[in-house]
Amino acid sequence: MKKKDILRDAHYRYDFDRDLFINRAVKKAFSIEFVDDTPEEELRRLIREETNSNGWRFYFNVPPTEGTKRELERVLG
Amino acid sequence: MTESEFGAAVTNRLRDQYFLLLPKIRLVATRLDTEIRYHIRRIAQELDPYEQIIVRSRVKDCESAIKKLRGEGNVFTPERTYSLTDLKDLAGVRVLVFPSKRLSQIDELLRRIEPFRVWLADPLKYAGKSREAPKYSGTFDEISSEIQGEYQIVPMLIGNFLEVEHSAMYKPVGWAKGADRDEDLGALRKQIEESLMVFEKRFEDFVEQNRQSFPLSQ
Repeated sequence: MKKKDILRDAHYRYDFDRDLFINRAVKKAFSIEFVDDTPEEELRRLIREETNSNGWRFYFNVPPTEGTKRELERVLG
Repeated sequence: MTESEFGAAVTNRLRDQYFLLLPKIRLVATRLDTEIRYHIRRIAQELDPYEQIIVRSRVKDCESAIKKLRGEGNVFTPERTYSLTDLKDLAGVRVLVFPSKRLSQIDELLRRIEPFRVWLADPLKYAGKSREAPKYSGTFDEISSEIQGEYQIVPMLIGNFLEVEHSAMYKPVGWAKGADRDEDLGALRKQIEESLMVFEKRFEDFVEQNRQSFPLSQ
């Protein structure tokens, strides 16, 4: 199964402006670089992973700075 | 200032910087192109009729340069500083070679010459990252110690394919946006690049067999 199908099945959609797979219901965002570099099984595990629903969880190769998180949280809603 | 206002301000500042740097970026591209053509001229003169070398230069366009500086999530963040001089390929030259047996000859020759001998190697990966072509970046300090140029020496079949593919997939507009991330297209790209290399290898073998079988016919 392709990674984009795994993400689509988990109700993620692709944000073309940000190059992110996002799911607003669970407040998770995967960067395209992270998806490219992460094995399928690990991706499935991270999709299932429980998170604190108060804020967004960003899965990036290089952890985002606080400023990046604030900006993305603002535009993602 | 909000982060998005900061991002807009950075973008505007980088656009200003681009047009300030542009005359020297053009000089670097011209110098790189001229140096490479000059130094490989003897190889170019001794090519067999079926062999080709093409040198192409380009200046990176403004929006591509700015896009490349954004990180994951396409965001500019106040915690970092941004400058177009961080980019290694504001000016670029691609040397296309067919067949690729000339590739290492050109690579070795250019690596012996100033200033290329101290330029940083960062091989270009293709065919699903299974193959590499020589790629180097550095400066001509007499023009600018900040503006980096890059040259790469690439099998011609691959290089021509990449030029069409790159402009369609990586600088897309409208419904082509995101094509560079499509796994089906990625798999096909790998197949095509591998097939081109197999074709080229077979061609080289064919020529070599003929050379040995009919040494005096040319």
